[in-house]
Amino acid sequence: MKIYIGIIIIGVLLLPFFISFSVKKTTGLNLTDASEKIYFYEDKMFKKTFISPKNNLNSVVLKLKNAALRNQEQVIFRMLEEGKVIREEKINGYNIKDEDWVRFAFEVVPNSYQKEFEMELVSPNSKINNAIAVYINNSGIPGIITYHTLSSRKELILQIYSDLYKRLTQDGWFLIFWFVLLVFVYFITSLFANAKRK
Amino acid sequence: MKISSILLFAFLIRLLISPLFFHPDIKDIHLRVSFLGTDGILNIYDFLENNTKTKVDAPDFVYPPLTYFFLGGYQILIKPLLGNSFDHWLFDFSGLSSLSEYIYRYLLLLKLPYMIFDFSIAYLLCKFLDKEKIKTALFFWLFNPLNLYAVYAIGQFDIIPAFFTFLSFYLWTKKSYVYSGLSLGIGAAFKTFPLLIIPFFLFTSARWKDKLLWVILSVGIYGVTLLPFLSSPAFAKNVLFSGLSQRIFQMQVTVAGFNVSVFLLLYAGLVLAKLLKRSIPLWALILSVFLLVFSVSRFHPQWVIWVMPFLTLAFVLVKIPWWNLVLLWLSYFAIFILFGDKFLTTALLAPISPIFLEIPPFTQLISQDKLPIVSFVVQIIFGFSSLVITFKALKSK
Repeated sequence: MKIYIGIIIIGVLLLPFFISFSVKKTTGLNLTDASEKIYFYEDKMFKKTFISPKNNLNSVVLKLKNAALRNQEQVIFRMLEEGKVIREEKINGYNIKDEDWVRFAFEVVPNSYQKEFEMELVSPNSKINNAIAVYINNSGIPGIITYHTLSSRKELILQIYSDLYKRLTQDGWFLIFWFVLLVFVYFITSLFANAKRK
Repeated sequence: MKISSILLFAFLIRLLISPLFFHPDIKDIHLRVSFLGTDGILNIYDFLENNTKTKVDAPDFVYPPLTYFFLGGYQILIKPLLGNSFDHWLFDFSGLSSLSEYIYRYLLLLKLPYMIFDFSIAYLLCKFLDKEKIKTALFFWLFNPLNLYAVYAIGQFDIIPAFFTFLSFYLWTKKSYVYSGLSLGIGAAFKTFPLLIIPFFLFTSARWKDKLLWVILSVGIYGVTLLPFLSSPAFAKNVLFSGLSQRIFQMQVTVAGFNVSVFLLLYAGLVLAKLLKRSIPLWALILSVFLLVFSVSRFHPQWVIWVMPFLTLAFVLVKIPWWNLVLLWLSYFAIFILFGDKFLTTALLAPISPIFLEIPPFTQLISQDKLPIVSFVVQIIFGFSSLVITFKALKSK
């Protein structure tokens, strides 16, 4: 019995490790806290720079808003390096929901580590009443996730457990509550065991 | 191993799994029940039918009213612990809601009541079984992977009606017919599946007065909870005549020129078996009915929890062979891997890292023209292992 229980506990803790072998992409930037909006339409574009934290950048995901799904115009995403357009992707507003993380995937940029890129979002045919918005935070930084094709399995596994640690420590109250609950249950089961012995 | 240690480890595993596994269904359900606290909505069916804000992403509520009031009431109780961002998270339809800063807190708190019903079933098993069988039963109930997956990974609330169904069965065996009827009615008021087993209670030995009272109470409680909503077309469409409730009758065969539901045919077979062999225990018939549901329909993963308390009884009382159980478990998981929905498999781990959202469904490893055959074979294996268990259970006394 104890062995089986041990297998389950270790299995749950190691599950991410085993599943990671089917992963082909890893995340880089992961800034999801963005609730303010900035609109782009006609000649008004959205521009922001970012630094890629890893090599092999192959997609950028941004949080966009297509209010009441009104916009059905072309949306162009451009990525520039040192002022030159190196990647361009076009999608249609029809495919953007009212608050949605939208992926712009492109050919891999191999030596992207620590390089500064500028991204532009334009939609020349959109008007003010059907404009698409980008979500940004108070500092003007957009909600952004970057994906990179895998270069090292070991780095991926370390990243997964480091993501877990970061996210666990993000919510201190959860950790305290979790620990108190565990201690409480240990106390109750011990009481139960002592009562049985008497 | 001591029972206290079994309980402690069971709780530890649930504390581990609950916050780390996320299926969007738990957020979807809690979005709908949140309107009880935020807007004071009592008729959720009509509200969602007419609400433009949720028309696209939350168009309906498919469960009976008691589910709405119970889960909505619980949400009101824990609101201070959930925090101010919870409502915003509920309305995040972006597909990356698992990346919320407070996701672990939400998942643990929303799944916490399931542990109460889960351990309550464990308690009932201890009360029902002889002393020498308790540890085995507890071990099977608390550590089998189907329970952990259906309740704490998927996060659906089927453990609640499953508890009331098992409680009804337990109270019936103790001849406490009034409370047994009330329990079954309450279970049906969460999800209607307990109504399937009513006839089998009536075939067991008890005074006809007790049986009549039991039926009145069980159906009555269920009916009373539905009464205020019967005039709502949205309620009728989404709950009474929903696609889910009709699904078990969809598999049909032609008999004498008529299309007959396979489920009804085999259900009639179980009724006949009970009439011919009075000694078949009630738990074996309940087990058989639920396994029959899964064998003839495209069932949802969380439905399996309905049968698990009775499968636990079968495991300890009839000694189901290990190979049979392993076959059942493996085919169960294979069925859902072959659904092609990554949120039933790897994407469940998205709260750990968004990387797990990028893994495509495992069905992409199988060529599309072979997929239906593989799915069919897996379903057959599940049906076969269910059949073996059913036969062993029906042969018991």
